[in-house]
Amino acid sequence: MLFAPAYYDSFGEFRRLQREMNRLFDGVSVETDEFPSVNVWSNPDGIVVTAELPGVESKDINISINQDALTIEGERKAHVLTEGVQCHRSERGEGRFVRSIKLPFDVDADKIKAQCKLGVLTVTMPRAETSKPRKIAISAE
Amino acid sequence: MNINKTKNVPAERGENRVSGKAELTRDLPVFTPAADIYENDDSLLVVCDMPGVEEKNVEIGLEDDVLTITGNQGEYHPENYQLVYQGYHTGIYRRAFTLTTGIDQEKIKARLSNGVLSITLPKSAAAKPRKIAIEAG
Repeated sequence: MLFAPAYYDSFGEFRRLQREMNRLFDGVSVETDEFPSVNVWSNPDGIVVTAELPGVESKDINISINQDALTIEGERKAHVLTEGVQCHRSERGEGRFVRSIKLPFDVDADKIKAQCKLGVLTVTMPRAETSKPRKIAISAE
Repeated sequence: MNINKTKNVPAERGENRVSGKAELTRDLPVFTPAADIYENDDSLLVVCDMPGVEEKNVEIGLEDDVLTITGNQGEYHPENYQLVYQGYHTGIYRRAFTLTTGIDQEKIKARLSNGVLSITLPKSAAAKPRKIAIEAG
């Protein structure tokens, strides 16, 4: 960059945008960026997490919650190859998977609902009463 | 689920940004679903991952030895919630395969279960391997 004393830092804008995006996601952090992909929706009263889990039976999925950490683990069984079958392509993986998601607030473990339809797992978690913000009255002096 | 025997690719407006591939007219992201392909003496089995796609939104077409699979994911948005983290997008799954063996179109079977589409394509009688006896002498 010999002849560029005042060059336009085109990546500066991208970096700033990336920082803004990361700030938006503050409060929700995911430990690994692997299978399954998840989307997280929230409002002040609860969180909904959807995960794409095609080919995984409901009985092979384990969901557990520990205050503000949701763990989805399970196993995708492989297609059983019988005699005389040739495999041309094998792009769909198989095996065990685990994913933990840290939620922005504690949820009520007793009221969690999970549903697996069309290969998409939806977990609905209402907020724990203890983690709801309480209004504090200011007394007049 | 529809199985169209002669499915026409819709005419596109505007320019094709990806050369060689016809764009879809809807402005949705298009994904290539992961597929497993198996073959035995009688048939071909194509297994595709298509989570979130309902049966009525799947289209399978076979034209000129090209098998085209399209699945439209429904858009999911829980009421009164805001998207906080997006790990995946929803859109349209689309994949096309060129088949090298003759297929008996009347007997194609497809099954959608747990977000996985399995298509069984029985080979036509002419395409099944025939054992040729070698005469002695």
